[in-house]
Amino acid sequence: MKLTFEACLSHPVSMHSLKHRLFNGFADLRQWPQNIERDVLQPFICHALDKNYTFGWSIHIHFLHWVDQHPGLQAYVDERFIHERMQAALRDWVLMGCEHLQVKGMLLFVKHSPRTAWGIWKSESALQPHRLVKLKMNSAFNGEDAFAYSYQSNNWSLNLQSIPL
Amino acid sequence: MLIGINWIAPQTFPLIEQLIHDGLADFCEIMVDNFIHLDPRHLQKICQKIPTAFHLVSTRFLEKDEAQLFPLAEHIRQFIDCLQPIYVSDHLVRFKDDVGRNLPVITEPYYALEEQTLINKIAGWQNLLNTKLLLENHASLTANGQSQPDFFRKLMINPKLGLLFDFSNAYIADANKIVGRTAWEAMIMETKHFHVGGFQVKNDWTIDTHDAPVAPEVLQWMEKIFKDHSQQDVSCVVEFDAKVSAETWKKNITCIRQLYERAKR
Repeated sequence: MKLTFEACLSHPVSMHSLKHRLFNGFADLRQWPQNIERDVLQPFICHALDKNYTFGWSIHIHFLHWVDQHPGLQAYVDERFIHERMQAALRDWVLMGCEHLQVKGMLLFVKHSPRTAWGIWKSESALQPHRLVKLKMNSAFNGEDAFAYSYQSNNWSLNLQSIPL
Repeated sequence: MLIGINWIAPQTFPLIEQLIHDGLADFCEIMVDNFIHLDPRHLQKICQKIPTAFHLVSTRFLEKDEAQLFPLAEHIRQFIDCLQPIYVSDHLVRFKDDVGRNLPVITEPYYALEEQTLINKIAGWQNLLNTKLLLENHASLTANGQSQPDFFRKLMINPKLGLLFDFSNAYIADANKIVGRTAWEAMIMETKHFHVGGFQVKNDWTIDTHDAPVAPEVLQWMEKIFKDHSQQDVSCVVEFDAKVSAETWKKNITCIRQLYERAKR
């Protein structure tokens, strides 16, 4: 018997958990469609499954693109929404510390935010939290979405990689 | 009984230090995943006067091969060498499905169908960590959990493995009508290390959340169990999330200490 995302999704707790993951941190959730599960979450999950997304940290960036392409939802895409999605992706990434032991931080670029990148530095002390940082760029970033790992503290690497599925 | 308190985020450390300094708690169970990027000597310095235990959650050891696990195990071993924890514990869960997609909720494996594969994986991970490894029972939400107690019973034949029994997780699996908590009772009698935490009921499902006080039904069950429990050097971690208030944590710790003392009279 195979363990599949779809089978797991049929459990009511799964939908609640995905909703929490995607929408936690939305500053203006009350302005979104009232039935957010039916009108936003479920169609996005169908799209994500169709595209073979892996539901890792990049799901927040894929969600941003999907909302931006959705005729009924694209009005919600403003600077705050874009930056919140970027921060959510970085927070999700940093939680999986066992997957990137040697990495000190990650920098994230998305085409929706050509002049602002966001990054996260892993904490340097057990008594301090991880640190989200906003980077204003002198020239506009006009490439595809990308991320870069930094292996040295407080020294960003620009070894850009494509956003994973 | 040694009472432990879990450390999952930087902001709760002052409270943890205070509760241990005041004699309310005896040790700190570190969620190592959240500090794995740090130098273990740094943690050792911070926990100089605090006994520790280790809790691992997202090692994903069931989903990785030995080559992938070796550097992680080597790293964790440095933490073990530095901090000399009372125990090292992990979870027997799947984060990804068979094609590598992150599951909406972490899920139990198919214990019965994958029995030998799981046993080999667990033995391999224990071997890499080179220490006795305790595994925590899961707060079951799906039918996979029906064979969880049977699987753990078989697992415990290996002396290098042990059960970290979470009372509330077993209660949750029972409340969700997956498997009755009495299925664990014989195994509990052989167990020394315990967890307990709070849960919430949402849409008829009981979910392990660690954001509420331990339920009275769970406390009553614990007291009943401890009356017949004869193991020495017992510990119990009272688990809360990072938003816990000092008063709630203190109240729960005191309650569990008192119930253990009553059970042993």
